[in-house]
Amino acid sequence: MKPPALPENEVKRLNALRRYGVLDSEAELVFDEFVELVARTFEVPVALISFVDEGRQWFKSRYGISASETPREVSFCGHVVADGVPLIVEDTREDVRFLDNPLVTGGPKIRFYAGAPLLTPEGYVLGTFCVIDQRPRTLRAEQLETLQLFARQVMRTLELRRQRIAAETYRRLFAAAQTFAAIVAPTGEILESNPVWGQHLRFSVGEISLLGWGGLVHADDVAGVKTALERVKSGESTGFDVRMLKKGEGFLWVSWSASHDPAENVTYLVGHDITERVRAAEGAQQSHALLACISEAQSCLIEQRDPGTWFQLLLEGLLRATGSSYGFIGEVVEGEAGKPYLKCHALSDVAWDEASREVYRGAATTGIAFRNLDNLFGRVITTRSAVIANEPSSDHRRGGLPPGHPPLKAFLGLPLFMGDALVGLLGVANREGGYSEELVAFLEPFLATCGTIIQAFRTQELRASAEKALQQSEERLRAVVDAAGDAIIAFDKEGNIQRANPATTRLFGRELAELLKSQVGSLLIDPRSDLGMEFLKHARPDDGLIGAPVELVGVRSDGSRFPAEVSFNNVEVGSQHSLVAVVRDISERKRVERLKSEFVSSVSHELRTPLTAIRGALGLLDGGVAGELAEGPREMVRMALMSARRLTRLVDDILDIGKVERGTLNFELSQVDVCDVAARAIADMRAIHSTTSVAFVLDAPEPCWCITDPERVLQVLTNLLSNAQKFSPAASTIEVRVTKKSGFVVTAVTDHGPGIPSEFQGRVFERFAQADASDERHVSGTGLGLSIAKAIVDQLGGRLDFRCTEGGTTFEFELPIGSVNNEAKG
Amino acid sequence: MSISKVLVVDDEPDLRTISRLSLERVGGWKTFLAGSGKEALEVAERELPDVILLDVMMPGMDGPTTLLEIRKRAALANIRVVFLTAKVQKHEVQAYVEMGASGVIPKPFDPMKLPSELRRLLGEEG
Repeated sequence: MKPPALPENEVKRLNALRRYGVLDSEAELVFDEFVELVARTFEVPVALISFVDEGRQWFKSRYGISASETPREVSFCGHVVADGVPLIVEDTREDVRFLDNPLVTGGPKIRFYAGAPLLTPEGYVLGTFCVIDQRPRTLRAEQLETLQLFARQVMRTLELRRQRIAAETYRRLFAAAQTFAAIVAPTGEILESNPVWGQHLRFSVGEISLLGWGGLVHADDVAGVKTALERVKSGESTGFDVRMLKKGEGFLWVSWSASHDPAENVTYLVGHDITERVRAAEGAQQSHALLACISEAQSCLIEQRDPGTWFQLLLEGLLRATGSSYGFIGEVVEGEAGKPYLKCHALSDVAWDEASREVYRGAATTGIAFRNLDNLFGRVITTRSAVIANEPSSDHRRGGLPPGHPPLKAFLGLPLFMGDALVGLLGVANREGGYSEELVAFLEPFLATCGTIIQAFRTQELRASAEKALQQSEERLRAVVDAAGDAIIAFDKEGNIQRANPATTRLFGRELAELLKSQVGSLLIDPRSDLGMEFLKHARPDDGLIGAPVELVGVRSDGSRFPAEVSFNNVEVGSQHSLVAVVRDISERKRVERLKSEFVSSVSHELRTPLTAIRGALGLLDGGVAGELAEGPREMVRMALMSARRLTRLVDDILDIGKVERGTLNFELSQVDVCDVAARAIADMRAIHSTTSVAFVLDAPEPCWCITDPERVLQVLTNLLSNAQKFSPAASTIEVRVTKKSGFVVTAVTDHGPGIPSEFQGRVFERFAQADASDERHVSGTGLGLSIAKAIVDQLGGRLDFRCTEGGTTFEFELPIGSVNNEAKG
Repeated sequence: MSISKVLVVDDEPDLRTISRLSLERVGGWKTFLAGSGKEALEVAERELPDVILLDVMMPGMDGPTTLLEIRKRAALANIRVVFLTAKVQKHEVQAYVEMGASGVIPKPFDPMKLPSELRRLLGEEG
């Protein structure tokens, strides 16, 4: 026996078979009548309508046998299914395929078989319409055709029924679907709508067909729907999203999938509710807009752009995010008597006339102040909480709008906090559908940012004004530095020049660029060491070098030099330590000084010559060269002689002071016993003041040698003695004591005069200083003696000072025993 | 060698007069006067004084130059010269002595003591 093969399209064939829903179905009269009719027509005992599935053939209708199915491998119909063509077996015993088939060898003992395929329109063979006999037979061609005709009839019936079932399924589906479904006429008329419409939109079927799209979609979408349907019809589109109105109020977002059926000339629509999704997307978009706006405002803050723009940006973002038509953002400022008011930094321009336009222009620059708080936004300030007014016209809290102001349909006012402090306020108006607590919650992060930004704005304003003040003061300082006639040079501790003012380029004849590459040591040198500014490296603020002006030499770019007075100062800027040199060209001053000094010198010299003659002449008279003088004339000549001597001393002193000033006081050093010098000084004093009753006493117990200039020491001693003598009462003594003291020779001149008035003590060594300047002139002197004495002792490396004791004054100077200051050589 | 003739050289007439009075009346010497270095050379060559008192600062030929000129002339080579000057710094005195001066008398001088000072410098005490 040969079992039937499987057709190539077996899987699809089986699916097709299932679509008809015929397997294992109840017997049906229409098919039973077919088999009976065929059995009678062909005069065969058995006729069957057989469907072949995976493992069996199942008889939908059978005539002449009782079995409802047989296994597929023994079925004759399986062969028809496999080959797709009618099968006629005239005698099974003559056919090797079937002679040992159990249906042939056993019941129903088939000898003859003829089967016509049951073909679907797609060409799948689902089974057969077959006839069977227990004796061999033949089938004429027209008989086979008849059998095939019946087979086609069976399939047509099945096909019709399948379509009817499908239609019913769709209808049920249409009704039961949780999606919107509709069939629309080319005119846009809604031919059919499923109950979802009613459930979700609350319109009845009648209302739906009556209202049509025009009455069922959001007014803004009506035109869109028409266009979309046209596009679907022309095949350009397969769907559209639209807001479907709900009966009463509100709407749903519905996304429609559409297909046009050209045959029926209708459009099928299936739609589902995407309201949630749209809302979520809108929310996300709003959040995104809000975030974008916050981050932009923050970046403004970071980039320090004009603060006015921060608020404008925030307001724009706020209006977008809340769907409001206008609004404001302002700062809450404490006004007079602690009464807060609102200062708007950003305000939607809703100007309605020229006057209001002017006001809005003001907002852009300085902000507009609103002081009246008896209104909706004022309420936000006074209650420090959100104010929602969705029907402002009847709200008792409203304050009224100026005539011409756009109508207020809804208002939301929110306080802005920084910590606990109310720093600002924002207000938005006329959001469609009004404002809600949810929106307030949604705006939470935005509010925090606004608070921060207002705080930053305030800080910025403070900082800006501080910066401005600083800048002005810096500009003033810079102007002073730039205008200064003195060169001002800043340099680091290595001497590298960091900054220099214009006077520096002038003074040194060097370009700024060159200066900034130079060392301060190439500009200024110390003529005493010629080592440049080496010494500055070790300079400390407490060194004499820092602060007090020193005389140095400035070097111009061409190598020429000029005398410079320089003060050095330490400057700390931040952690940077700089030195600043203020350099003044003192060439002119030096020249004037030299002229003055030369003048003094030459005048003194010119004075000295006639003085010599005067003194000479008087001396000769006094000496009796011109004959003995009478006592009267002789006394007068003495007087003139004394004055001439004083004048000589004055001229000498002035010459010495000139030398001290010019630093040209010369010293000639040698081994000197200061006791000898003291003795000489006393002898000179005795000679000069031969008539005085004051006694000079020398106390010099041992020789006191030191290396010094004896003539200058003599000069010092003479000045001190002369000074002591002037203030000594009659018959008093002046003691001169010379002693040694650890490396120094100390010489003290003590008188027993009235002492130095305490108010004068600070000026003792000043030039032309005399204690009794305003008193009756008891004593006379040049007023230069002590000043010269101090200068000489200083330059000899010693120290001259005085002390007043009960009943006397002691001037004491010490001279170093070893070598004197190098500067004194010369 | 005792002094009998002194030449005073000074550009200041008053000082020449003072000096002359001092040297003649107090010292008892014959005194000649010259107002400049140039005149001094003429007078010295003519009178051959024992001592020349020479002012340092003079217009034209100054004291030291005049001394050098004097030393150039054989006839005058042995005449002793004493400077009369306001410049009495030790190094200056040293320089004058090295040039051949016998000493320096500082200005202003006491005319009553000038002759004795001169004698002291020239080693002719008494």
